Amino acid sequence: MGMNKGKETVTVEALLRLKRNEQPSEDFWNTFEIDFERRRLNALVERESLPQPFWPTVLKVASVALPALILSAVAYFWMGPDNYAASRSEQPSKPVAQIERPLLPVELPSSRGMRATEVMHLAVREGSHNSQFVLDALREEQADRSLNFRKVLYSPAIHLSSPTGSFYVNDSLSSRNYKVTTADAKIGRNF
Amino acid sequence: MSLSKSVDGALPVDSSQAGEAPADNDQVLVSRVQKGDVAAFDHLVRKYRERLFGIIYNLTSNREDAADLTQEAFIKAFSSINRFQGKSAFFTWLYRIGVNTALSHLKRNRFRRFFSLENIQEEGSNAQVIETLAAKHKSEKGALLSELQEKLNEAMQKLSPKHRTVVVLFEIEGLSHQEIAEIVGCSVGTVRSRLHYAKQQLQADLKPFLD
Repeated sequence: MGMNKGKETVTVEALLRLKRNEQPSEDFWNTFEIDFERRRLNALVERESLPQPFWPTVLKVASVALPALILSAVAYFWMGPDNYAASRSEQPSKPVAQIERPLLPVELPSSRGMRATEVMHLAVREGSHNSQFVLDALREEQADRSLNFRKVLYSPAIHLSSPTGSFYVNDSLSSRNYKVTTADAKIGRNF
Repeated sequence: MSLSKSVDGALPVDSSQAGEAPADNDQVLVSRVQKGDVAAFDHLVRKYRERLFGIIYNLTSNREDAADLTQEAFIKAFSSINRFQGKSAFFTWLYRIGVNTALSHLKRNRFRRFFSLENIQEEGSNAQVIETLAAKHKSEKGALLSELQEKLNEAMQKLSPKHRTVVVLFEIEGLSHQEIAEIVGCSVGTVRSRLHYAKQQLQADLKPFLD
């Protein structure tokens, strides 16, 4: 209780407990209830009128942007800042070999743990540009024995997926593997 | 709904729910709110509004601010109730929201302070304390109460918000050290040490009433 009757002293605790009885009246709670209901309805309306929840949108964007950002950063450090900048600014020169028909996709050997779809073997027509590096020209002998050349392209992400730092591009037509060297990658070899 | 505050140290309880396990009941209500039952939240509001108001009122010493902040705390709790996972008791979670809301308010308005206080009711042990003080100071009870309330309020406001929070939760609301530690987000040792320091300060400031 905090009070000694004999000595008639009052303790701090007893004084503080007086504050427990500082209570508002019933009217106060009636007003409180009405105000609270109004505010809660406002909060509900505000919440429902928001165009989209903030965090889910951020997460959705981040799930796409983050891997791309990480891959770019790794590519940047792996290739070296100078070469990366140079390769980014370098425009592909006019191809010497014309591609006469759509090409089959290049597949990486599965033993290297790379996804075939990540290596794009694209038909680059004259004047078209993309951000991929030209690594090699594959010579194809056509049925009529004429020669055709095509470019094997890769995106930086593919190269990075190689645990050893180098990888092979498999020509599905000839079933031959072409080793992609670091030098090829760095110079972004063109034809 | 009748709510009564116990007079000598025990936590205030909702007399309509005597005998039930409060934590279980809260858990049921919370899970109903989480499933979209808004009315269940009204039960929680009615159950805890006096106590939450009491905490905030004693932190701010302003009944209008306390009413506003109590509502704000309930709105916050309502908005984020889906994040409540039941790792702690609902009331510690709610009080944490209330205390943080009040502390933020105090921080924002540290140079603008207006006090508006409720009257102290003469009930139970309070009446006894007041009688003793009136006899000792040979003063009329009404005048003594006003002066006492003013001095108590001044002494409380001299404490830092952190120390005041611990005093309010322990001495006025009757929570345990462990519960306070959960609400405030510090160790039990820190709670004890803040309480000790705060009481020393109050002892010095309220000396005329204590001698």
